[in-house]
Amino acid sequence: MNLEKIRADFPILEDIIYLDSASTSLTPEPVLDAVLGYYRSYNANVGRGVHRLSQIVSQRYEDAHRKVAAFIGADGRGEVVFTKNSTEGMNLVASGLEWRKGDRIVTSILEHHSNLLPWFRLRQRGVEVEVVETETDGILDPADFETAITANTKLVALTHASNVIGTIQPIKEISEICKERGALILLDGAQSVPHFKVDVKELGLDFLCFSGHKMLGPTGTGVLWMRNPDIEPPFVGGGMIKEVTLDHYEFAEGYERFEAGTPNIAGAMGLSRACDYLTDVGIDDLRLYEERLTRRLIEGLLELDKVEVYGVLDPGMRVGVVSFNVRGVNPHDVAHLLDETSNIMVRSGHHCASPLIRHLGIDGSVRASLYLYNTEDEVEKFLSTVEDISKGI
Amino acid sequence: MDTIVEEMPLALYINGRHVQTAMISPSMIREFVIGHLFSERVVKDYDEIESIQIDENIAKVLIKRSFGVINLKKVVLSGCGGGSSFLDESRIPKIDRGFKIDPEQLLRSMKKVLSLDLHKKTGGSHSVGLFDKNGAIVITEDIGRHNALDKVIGHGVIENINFKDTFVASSGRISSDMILKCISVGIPAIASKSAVTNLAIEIGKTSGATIIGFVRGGGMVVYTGSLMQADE
Repeated sequence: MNLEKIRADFPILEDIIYLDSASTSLTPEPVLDAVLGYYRSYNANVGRGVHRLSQIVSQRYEDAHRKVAAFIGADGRGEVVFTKNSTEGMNLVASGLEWRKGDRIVTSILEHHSNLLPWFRLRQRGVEVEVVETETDGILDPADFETAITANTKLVALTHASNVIGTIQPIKEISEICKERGALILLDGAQSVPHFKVDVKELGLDFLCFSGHKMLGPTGTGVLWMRNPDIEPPFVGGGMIKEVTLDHYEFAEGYERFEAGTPNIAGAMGLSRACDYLTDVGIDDLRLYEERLTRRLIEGLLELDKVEVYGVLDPGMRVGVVSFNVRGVNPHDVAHLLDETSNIMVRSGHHCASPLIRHLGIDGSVRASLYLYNTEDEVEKFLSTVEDISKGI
Repeated sequence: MDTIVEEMPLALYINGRHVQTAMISPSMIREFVIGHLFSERVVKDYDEIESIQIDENIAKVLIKRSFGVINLKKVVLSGCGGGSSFLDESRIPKIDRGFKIDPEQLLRSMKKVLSLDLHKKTGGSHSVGLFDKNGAIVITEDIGRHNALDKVIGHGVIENINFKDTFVASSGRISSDMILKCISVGIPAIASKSAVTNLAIEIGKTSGATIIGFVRGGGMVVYTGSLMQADE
């Protein structure tokens, strides 16, 4: 990993220390070029015209789907559908699967609201939702799923890595239980796909949702991968049909079926370039580097008297998303002071995971999250600033 | 029943424009497209090809260069007997004259090329092989000798073969466009079971490529270049 070269692609880092990548990542120059390149050189609509630009953009848009599929080990397997974020992915599955009264969904206490509310809303239709809890280490126990997944369980919807405490979940073990019981498994990969190799086949997934904007892509980009894309499309209209008469219509096959209307074409070009960028850097190298930074970050925080860190501490069992509190100081104040005194951007509050925050017995936390462009110096600067805050300096 | 030779039209689109429809045998289509782009000097580097999508009779290619400036007239494609894309002597690529074929190996290679099933069964196809000192890299056949050559070149590109150590053996005659295709990717020698045209010989001399015709019955005619001697 050539850190100097990487940082040169993020000129915004000249002015700030960005430790909020779990919220949205920064966007490197090549991705910006890909987005602008579309508008500048081949701006046209996809799949609708015979003219040259339309042909070019259609091919590139289709290639972007293939590129993303390859990135998650799904070459020629299932369907990659572009969404605007992970949240939309979960909602597509919630609205697209056929639900009957008495169907069960199993999820966990670790989830982001976007992997809870789409399922909670189905309670109105008689669907039961069971929430599996964890110990304070924040790692799910597959044994709990042996009992939670019953014959009526249609779907198990879990996060791969907590967006609050970064803990990585034993998804493969749980997906094997799902297979035995005939339940589908949906994975929220928003915090995992950007940071380590996620392979849909190896994990035995049925659905994978993740956000392009957390993996160097533009905002407004996300992905829903489906092993078997036989859910009802959420929207009908332009671009997603094979044939329409006044009394009949037939949906298109493939991803088009789920992408009604003109999609976020420029965003797709950016996301495709982001996949290339991460592949070029090397996702395994990136993971090792982040592990190293995470280790120092956690060790440094633990050395401070008034600071407590949540979730398992071993950096091999988590991503670089670290939640902590400074005793006696409101997390929002900590975040504010980090920015005010040292130009450090972190997140504070409940991180769209209120049930987990409550489960941890706190009102909120400060969350520092790392990515490939962060440095050891930045981590040290962050630690010394937190130390100053903890000492009331 | 007689074996009938299969033929299909393949419409080639480059950067959204239809540039040519080729009649080819329905095999190694991706190799054909890649080989064609190289042998007609549309691209020089595999990285220049951004995307190839093949959907039945259509091959869509995106080349990494400004989408606005691909000029159809610059992409002149050769056809059987239709003359070649470039005969400006100054533009003929030069080949290192040091390459020499072992005549024994050439005879064995030609035998392999001519033994392909379809060629024998139908007499209606051409076969072309790409060889290096270790033997055959790929042998294929097509209704057109140019197509077959493009397919072996495409295979070589995909497999990242260093063409300067290879030679081509073909069942069909060596015309100017056959030798031009070879030297465009740096293949230093071409041999055929049949005849060689005068223009091909001229290009062989200018470029430094080796051209050998009438490789049959244990003999051969060397038009340009030279064979490896027994003590070499």
